[in-house]
Amino acid sequence: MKRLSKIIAAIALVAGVTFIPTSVFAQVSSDVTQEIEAGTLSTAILDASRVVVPSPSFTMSTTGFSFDCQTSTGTLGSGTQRLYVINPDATLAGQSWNLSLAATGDWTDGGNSYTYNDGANAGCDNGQLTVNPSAGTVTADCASTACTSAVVTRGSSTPMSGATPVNILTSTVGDTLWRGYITGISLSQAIPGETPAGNYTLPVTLTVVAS
Amino acid sequence: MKKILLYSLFILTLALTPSIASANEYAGVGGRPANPREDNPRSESIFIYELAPGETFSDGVQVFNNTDSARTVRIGAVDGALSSSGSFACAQEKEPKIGVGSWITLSQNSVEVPARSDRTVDFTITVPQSASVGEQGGCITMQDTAAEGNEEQGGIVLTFRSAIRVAVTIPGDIVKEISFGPITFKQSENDVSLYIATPSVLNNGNVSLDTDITTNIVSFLGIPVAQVEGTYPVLPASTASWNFEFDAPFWGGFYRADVTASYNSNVEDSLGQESSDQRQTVSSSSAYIFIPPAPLAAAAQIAVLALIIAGITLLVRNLRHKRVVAKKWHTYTVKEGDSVQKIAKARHISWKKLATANKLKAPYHLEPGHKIKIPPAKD
Repeated sequence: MKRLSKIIAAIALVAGVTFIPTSVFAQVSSDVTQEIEAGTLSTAILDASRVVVPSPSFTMSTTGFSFDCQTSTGTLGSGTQRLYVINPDATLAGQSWNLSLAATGDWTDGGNSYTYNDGANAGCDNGQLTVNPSAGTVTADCASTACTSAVVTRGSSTPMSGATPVNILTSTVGDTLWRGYITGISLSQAIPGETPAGNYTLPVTLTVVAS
Repeated sequence: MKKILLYSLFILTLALTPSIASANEYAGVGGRPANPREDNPRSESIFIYELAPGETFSDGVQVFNNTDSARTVRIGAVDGALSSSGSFACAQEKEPKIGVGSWITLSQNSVEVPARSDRTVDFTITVPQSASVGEQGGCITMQDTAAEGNEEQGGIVLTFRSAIRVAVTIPGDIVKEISFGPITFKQSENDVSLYIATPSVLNNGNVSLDTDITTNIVSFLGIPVAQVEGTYPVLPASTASWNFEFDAPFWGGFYRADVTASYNSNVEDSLGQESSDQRQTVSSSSAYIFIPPAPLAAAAQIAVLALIIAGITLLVRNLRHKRVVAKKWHTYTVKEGDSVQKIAKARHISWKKLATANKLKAPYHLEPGHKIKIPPAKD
């Protein structure tokens, strides 16, 4: 029995020493090297544990068929689907970024469609989506004291017009590491009267650009 | 022996724990210029070129995959665009390319990038002969194909992409000039505890300018209460604006927003360079706003105001009484047996009022022959 214990102890010791992290070795070795990957500017929808939400989608309020213009509302970004911007590389000089949102097609249910960017008759002629980032809440999610929500400014409430991307967040030019997210961006879509009933989808692209 | 066994198992557990914890950190897919210029640190994060019409330049974009699995990254070139606030944005892939997006030829449209690794995608940029003097903007975009939206779910379907700005300056008569448009200063529609100053800055030149914007909020007494500073790219021939937010001042009152813009006006310097201390500073006109005080401050202010009004009322009444005494009361010579109470009763006023009007002190004794002021007798 004692011999078996000795063997188990020896195996565990060898395995532990083999897999031990460099930070533990650092106390006894002068030759330790550690590489931290720089990372790059990116945006994604993450949950509260900062895990990517696969195929995120945001529903709008359901409306019934109407002969009159009506409005459907929704919210982009929630506690479980946070719109993150991650700028993990402080080695880049003068890094600034801008997060914008643009639709890449009309609302469609596969057959019928209406648009998101026509302001005629307050959006009631053909449909218009208004995006209000200033209704959202920005939260910095990092340890550095320089990484605060004050580093970024939120865009104003904007009805979509033509192909112009709606500004969501803008950072200053600086060397600041930043990880944070915005939730609660309000959306309001004017739906033209007599739009046929259906389950409509709007494809939207969020772009974070190093500027 | 048991102790050795326990220690060994502890070390083994310690060794295996960190790799499990670090696997969840999301760092995404993105890129950066593969060959930044040594003379321009700003070129580490964006592409900056000075190219003559007809000139071709070869470069590369370094595409990073910071996730824990191999990714296919779609690479594209699109024109630059102005966002709704005037900041730099990228056109969509489906939009026709008429600017810098059409000048860029990528060696490949997608790249397989192993986990925690990077790949460089080469491209050339050829400036057409018809390109006009000044800065033109475009983007190189990177899109993780695994993160594209699912169209079948209904509602808003999101797709994500990272992009790098491409700034191409065509040499010639370069103009660098910033001016201010109107500035608004108002309460936030979404949060009454916030006030938003929104300056608009016009770039009247033909190249973009990294502009230091400083916004100061000053009370009507000239006391600074808040300041926000930041550097923002302002694109050529465009107007940019930013929403600078301030907490509502506790005491409320009239406040003023002043904004200054400072930029490198040396036309020899390209974007990101500052070879000399040739900075130009311009100031906005001021915007004013009345901010109501916080409830506690309002209560304190009302209490102080009530005290002031009460004090003024007392002062006015006192002055008026003194004037009445001086004008309408006449002199009375005190006789044997008179007292303050007796004289006051005869004139139908309180003895205290009579004593106060004549500045008599306790015990209010009157000597015969003493002259005092008394009100006229009532009919």
